[in-house]
Amino acid sequence: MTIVVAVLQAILLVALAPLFSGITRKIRAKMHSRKGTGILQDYYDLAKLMRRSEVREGGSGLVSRLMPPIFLGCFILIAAGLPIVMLACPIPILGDMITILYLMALPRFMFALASIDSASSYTAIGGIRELLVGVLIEPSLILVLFVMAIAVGSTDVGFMSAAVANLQATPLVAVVVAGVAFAMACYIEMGKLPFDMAEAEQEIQEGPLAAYSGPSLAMLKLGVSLKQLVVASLLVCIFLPFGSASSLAPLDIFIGFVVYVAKVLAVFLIASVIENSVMRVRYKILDRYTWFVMGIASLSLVFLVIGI
Amino acid sequence: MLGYSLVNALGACLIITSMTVVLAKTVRASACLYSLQSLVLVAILASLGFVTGSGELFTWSATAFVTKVVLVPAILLFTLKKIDNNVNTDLTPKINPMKAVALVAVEVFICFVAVSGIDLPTAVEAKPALAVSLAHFFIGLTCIVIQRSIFKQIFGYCLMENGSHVALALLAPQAPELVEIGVATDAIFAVIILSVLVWRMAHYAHTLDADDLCELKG
Amino acid sequence: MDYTFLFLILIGCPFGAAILTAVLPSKSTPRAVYSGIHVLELAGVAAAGLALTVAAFMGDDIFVFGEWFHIDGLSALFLGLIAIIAPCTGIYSLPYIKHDVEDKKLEPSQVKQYYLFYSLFVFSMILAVSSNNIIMMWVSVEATTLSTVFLVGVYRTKLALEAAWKYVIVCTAGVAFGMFGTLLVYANAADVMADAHQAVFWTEILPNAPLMDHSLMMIAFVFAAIGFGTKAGLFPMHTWLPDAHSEAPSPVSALLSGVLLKCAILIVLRFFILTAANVGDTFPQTVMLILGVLSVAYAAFEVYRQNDLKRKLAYSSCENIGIIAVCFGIGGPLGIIAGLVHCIAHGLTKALMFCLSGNVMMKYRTRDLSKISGIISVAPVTGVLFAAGCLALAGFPPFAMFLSEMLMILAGVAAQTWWVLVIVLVALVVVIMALIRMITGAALGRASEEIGRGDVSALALAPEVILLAVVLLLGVALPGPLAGSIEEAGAIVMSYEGENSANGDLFADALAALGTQDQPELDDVSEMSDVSEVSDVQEEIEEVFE
Repeated sequence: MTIVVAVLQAILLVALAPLFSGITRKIRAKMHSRKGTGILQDYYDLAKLMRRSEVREGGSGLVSRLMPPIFLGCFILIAAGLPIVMLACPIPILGDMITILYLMALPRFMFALASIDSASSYTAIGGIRELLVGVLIEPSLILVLFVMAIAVGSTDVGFMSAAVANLQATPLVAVVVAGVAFAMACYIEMGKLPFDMAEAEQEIQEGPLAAYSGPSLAMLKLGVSLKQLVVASLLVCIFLPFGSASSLAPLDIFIGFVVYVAKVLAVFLIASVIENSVMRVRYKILDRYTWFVMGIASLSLVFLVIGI
Repeated sequence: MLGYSLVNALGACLIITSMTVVLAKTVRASACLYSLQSLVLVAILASLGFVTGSGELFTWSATAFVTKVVLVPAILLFTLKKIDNNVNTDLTPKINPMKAVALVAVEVFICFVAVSGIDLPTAVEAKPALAVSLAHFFIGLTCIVIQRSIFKQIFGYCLMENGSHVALALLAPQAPELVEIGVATDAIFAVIILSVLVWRMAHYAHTLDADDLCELKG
Repeated sequence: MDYTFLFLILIGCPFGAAILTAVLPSKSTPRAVYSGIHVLELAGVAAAGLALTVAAFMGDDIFVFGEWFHIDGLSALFLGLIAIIAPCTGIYSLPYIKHDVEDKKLEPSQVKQYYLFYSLFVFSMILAVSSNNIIMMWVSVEATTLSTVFLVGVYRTKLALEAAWKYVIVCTAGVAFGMFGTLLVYANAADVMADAHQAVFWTEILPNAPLMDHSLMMIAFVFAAIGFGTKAGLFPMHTWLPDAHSEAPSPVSALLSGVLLKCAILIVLRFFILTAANVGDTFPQTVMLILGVLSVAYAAFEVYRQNDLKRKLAYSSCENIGIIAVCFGIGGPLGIIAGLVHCIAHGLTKALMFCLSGNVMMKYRTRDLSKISGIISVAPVTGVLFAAGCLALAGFPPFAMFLSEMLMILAGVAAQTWWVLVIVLVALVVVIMALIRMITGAALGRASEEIGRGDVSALALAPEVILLAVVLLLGVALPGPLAGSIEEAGAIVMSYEGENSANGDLFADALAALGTQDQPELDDVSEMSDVSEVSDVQEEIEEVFE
């Protein structure tokens, strides 16, 4: 039964991902006083790309060809494992925080590898920027999840979810501070400004994607939107699990789902507002922000040790 | 015990608010946040009063409210108004303030290690809060060291003062009023004198930048 | 006997003078009125202070207002220091301030401010040394900082304001450490004592000290040593000291260096005694030794390096405070006595030197040593006093500092702390070199023709002559009561050892530790220095540099 839930939620997330990225684009357009494209635009783009034929750069190898499916696949796996509508992981082995961290690291690794596999120098630069953001923010993510693991006594994200929902995660202040740090880390992970892969300045920002076309590009685009959704879900699952289903009863599941969508939508809304009120910065000063997150994460660890 | 866990949680809030005081970009914001932090301090004193049943602590929280929540920020804001507009009060700190957060975390941890060796009956329940108060002291010191604007260094001193105030309340809830009066008046007088000095500095030397004030050397 | 009235005069004079000065309208009151109040106040302080000191020397343990104030042999030494130096520098202020006003360095309205804060400063120092309440001790030390800020920054130049800012921020932050230490001691004592309200009194804590929590007491002592050590000017918390001393008016520098630093040392000593009674003397001695040796080693080279007269003297204060800390760190009866004698000897000598630097500044209008030469030919009396003061500061006989430094060396030999002795002696050699250079360069040398001949006024010279006479007197022969009271003070410090020998022969014990025989007459301390072979070492050192 839980397998079914896992498959369903994976499909659902994949299906919803373009919608959410469409919504963010719409919000941005509104904030820029533009009319903007419709919220379903991403679906049209994907459909169109799927119909196109695949063109590959000369000299690129197996890595480039394998990257898009691995990228998308990893995030689908994470999506299947998260305690999205229930307070437990549908597939426990996928819901372990270590699995999740590695499933997030693998696409990043492949992404960077593919960017240097390509012949274009722009893609390499873009790939390095992506990698840099990852290197800067991953320690904070690991630290926060570590704090939560100690606080609830398990590395299973489902357990964390249940403990927070029942207000049993102690010490309280440490968990709250960890939540703040995690929210910031998630914002950065989601690739929002100033940590973004923007639509403009194609060569640098979205560099690695420049070498792809057709179905591969479609997979990557879907993967990027799915990543945003998965990261937002991770935040919602661990730190805001209130309202999720505590049993497998259909009504509970339904309520859990509705609440989940509302929460993720709120997260996206807040992220979009922040994104549109900051400016892009040079990659060299990104570490200022990530140090801040790191500091808060370590503060939560200290609070945990002290026990407040 | 709910009482002490409330005290401890408020202690953590103290750390968080003091960080915001250090990180705030303008003096005005710092002053307001300092007022907020003192409010947390008052809450700690009051909740400690409930926990220990010590009547003195309620008096303390009342005096702390008057002096620290109202008077000290008022004095600082008044000084800010008096200072000429052409003197920049909001200088950026010497190190990236974001890194200061990590520094604060390290300080809190070290203080916890230091406090864990203490074996005092009154301090058993509130050990985390004691560590926090000690750490708070060092956060104040950090603020003095990293701030370039000498106006903001005053806040460092105020934070140190708050740290020892909490420690006093935790360790000696039965302390005579004189102690409290000493701590409170000292804070007021020190802040007044520091403010006057800052005003004079702005008036006669036209700068509040600590980096400009290093002509005396060796 | 009831000393309440005497004590009231002692603290009432400066406080009343401060109030009176504050309420007088600054525009319409002539300067003479302020000077009059100032002189009267200082006369009161001197009379009452010396009377109380003598009473304490005679063996009275004076408590005033219940247990709030307490003057024992230990605090009497420091009270005596205040009662001598504060009036001397106070009288010296009169011509100095007059000169500054004529020189347009001070506006007439600032004169009122100067005398107001001067009175408050004296008041707070008297509170600091006579307080028995540990919280009160901290409050009064903080008060000394707050009252001197505007004395240091009285000139309102950018440099003076900078010095004042450094002074106030370093010292308030430092003394906040002291407060933390004080609170820890109080909380600790309140826990073990039946009546928590008694736990603020030092004399009540001491008997209970062995019962208190050891690790808390160690933390408290480190905090107190750092906190009040900042005020005393121990390395590495000394940064405010050279700036504040060099920018303040000379009489204030003299009072800061001569008395305030020693008051801070007294407070450190009070905590030292409590901690030693609690955890044994090894821990506090080690802390003092480390701070002291660092201060001496660092400051000695700075004394040599500086080219600014007052900064040189300021670093020399830093070095001498280091020596005092080393004395307490070496410990034992001899070490403690050496430290106490050094407090007095250095306080008087340094007050003299800062006043003389004021004379020099009045004549030359600069502190730059490369521009000062031939003081003896420009102002003969000042020049002779200056040369004598330099020699006294360098620790030459027959001045008082020779005695205390000698005692320190003896204590070091007794305790066999050779590495400390070697470092301190090397540092002392460097200081002697620096001061000899100052004599040859500034006191002697050829005077520039532009400087007008003639000495400063007699009113400025009189306090200096008195100070030099006292320094000389203490060096030649310690008066019996004073020697006895130093012994008693040493016994108070040593009281943690349990074998309280308040009237015992500490000197005899100490010398027994040295292993020297045949010491028939111990009352006169100056005789001791002839005895030991170690004095030869010192003489050799001195010969090298002559």
